Amino acid sequence: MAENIVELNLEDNIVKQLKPQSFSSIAFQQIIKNKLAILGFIVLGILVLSAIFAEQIAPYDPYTTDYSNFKKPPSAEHFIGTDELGRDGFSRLIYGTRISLLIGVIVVTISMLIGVPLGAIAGYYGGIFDMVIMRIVDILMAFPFIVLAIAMVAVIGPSLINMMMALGAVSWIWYTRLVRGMVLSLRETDYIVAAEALGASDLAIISRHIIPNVIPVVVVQASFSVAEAILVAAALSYLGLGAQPPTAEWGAMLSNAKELMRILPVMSIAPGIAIMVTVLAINFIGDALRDALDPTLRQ
Amino acid sequence: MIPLIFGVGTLTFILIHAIPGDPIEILAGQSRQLTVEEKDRIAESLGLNDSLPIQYIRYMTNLLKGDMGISITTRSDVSFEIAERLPDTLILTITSMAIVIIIAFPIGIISALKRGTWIDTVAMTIALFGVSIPAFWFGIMLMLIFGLYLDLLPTVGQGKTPIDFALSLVLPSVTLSLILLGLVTRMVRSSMLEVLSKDYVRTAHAKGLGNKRINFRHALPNALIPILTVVSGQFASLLGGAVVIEQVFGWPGIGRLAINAVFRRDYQVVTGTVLVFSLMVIVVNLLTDILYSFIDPRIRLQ
Repeated sequence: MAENIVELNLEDNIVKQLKPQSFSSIAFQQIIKNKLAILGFIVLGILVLSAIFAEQIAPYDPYTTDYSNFKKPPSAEHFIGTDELGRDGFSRLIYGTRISLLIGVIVVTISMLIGVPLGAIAGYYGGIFDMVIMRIVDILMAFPFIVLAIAMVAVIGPSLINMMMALGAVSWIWYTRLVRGMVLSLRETDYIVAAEALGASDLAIISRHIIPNVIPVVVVQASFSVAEAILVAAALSYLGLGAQPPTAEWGAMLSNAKELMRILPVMSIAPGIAIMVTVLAINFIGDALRDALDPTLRQ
Repeated sequence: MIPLIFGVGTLTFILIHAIPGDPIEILAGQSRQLTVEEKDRIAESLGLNDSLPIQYIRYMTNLLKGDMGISITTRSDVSFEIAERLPDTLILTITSMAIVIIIAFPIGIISALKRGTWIDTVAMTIALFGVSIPAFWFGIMLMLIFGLYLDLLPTVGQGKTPIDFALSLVLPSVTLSLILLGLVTRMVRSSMLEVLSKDYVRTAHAKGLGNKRINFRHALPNALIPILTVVSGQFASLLGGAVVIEQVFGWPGIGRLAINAVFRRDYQVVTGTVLVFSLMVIVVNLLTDILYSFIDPRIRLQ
């Protein structure tokens, strides 16, 4: 009897080892192992918390001007000093997190909502749909992305919301190209040909076979796009085409700090570091997601 | 290529006509209230009384003749204004591209050859920082260090004499190169790594060729093709970056022209510069296709 029990346990172990792991659990384990990704998640977590709880964290109101206390160097009361209107730089920095993260999420959401369905239609149905959609993509690809965004902002007027719409309206083409390419190659795979032969409907093939394959790639692209959107949006706000004064936005703060460069260089340094840290954290996560979700890169 | 230019022109036409408000007042750029007669006269001279299809055909034929309309603020030819500023933008972007190639290629190749060593780790970490730093902020930091503190280089504007010109080009071009440095370094490394794992490289090792010969005669030329694709594809981002960097350093190129025009609501200039930017992208893509056939004999044979 005792021997039997040992054998059973052994079998149990073998069963455990052979138990197939799901795609997402392997991916999750890979991400957990990546130290930079963990760092990225921690930093991003802190940024998200400071965006949500900006009112509680920021020592001052970011918009309250104080003419008795302007252009002050960094001190214990004002960590990075006060600007030319006496507004606390550190508090404005904290509130800036909110806007930058929102910009990243909203721009990417807009471009995904336009780009993914168009790419799927072009790839799956082909023919005239494919031709029209891809010609539009080709035309938009012939412009430097930021130049087209600037032209659109010029047309609809510079503001934070218009800038986000313009960025979304010019960056969907990346998703369309990506998704179309994937759908085209997926259509040729044996299991989809088999599903078609078995009489599966378009909807069944798209929802059961195509979407699960496309999602990981789109997620990786989206994570890098969030970083890219934050960078470009900061540049546009710096130029005065995005967030308008007095909004506490990092790019607009850098633009404002130009005048104070000689006496208060910290005002030119801090918002840039905030942008860099945010983008770096998201890129760390993006890199890890790519390594974990792309089966072709997996060892 | 011809349909592409056609499409690009159509898009700028749509942009002009998508501007909300009275097109006569917008295109005439008058701030005061216009009388009916004045409006009529302006509409007639700008051809705004014709139907949209006729306006479209006239717009496109004018474009073919190189006529992009008249600036409402300076009253001069948009084509002329752009042509005057274009060389400055070209000098800036080409210098930046040269800096990218000079720095990114050696570092990327060394990282690939020394894969997994500390050199590789350091280079790739710096490259990741490179893609995460906002370029315009990097420019402000360079201004702060080299302009204000060390007082070594001019920070704003463009020098007149050749030496001053070269000096004033340093900070903007280094700043602009940051946009592509990290990306191209990573690309050179991964492309080189991929080629190094190919069978023909193993064969070369097996027949006893030296490392130098294998790396530079067998691996590098093959790694160049995907790199060229990325570099030419990213030329558009370099031009886009130039718009921002020109503004940071007061460099008088067409990017600065475009931004100033946006604030003056000078739409003919805005769409004109947008059009020229896309023409540059199209030309670079064409040149790349020609360059492929020089690098890759397989393409030449087809």
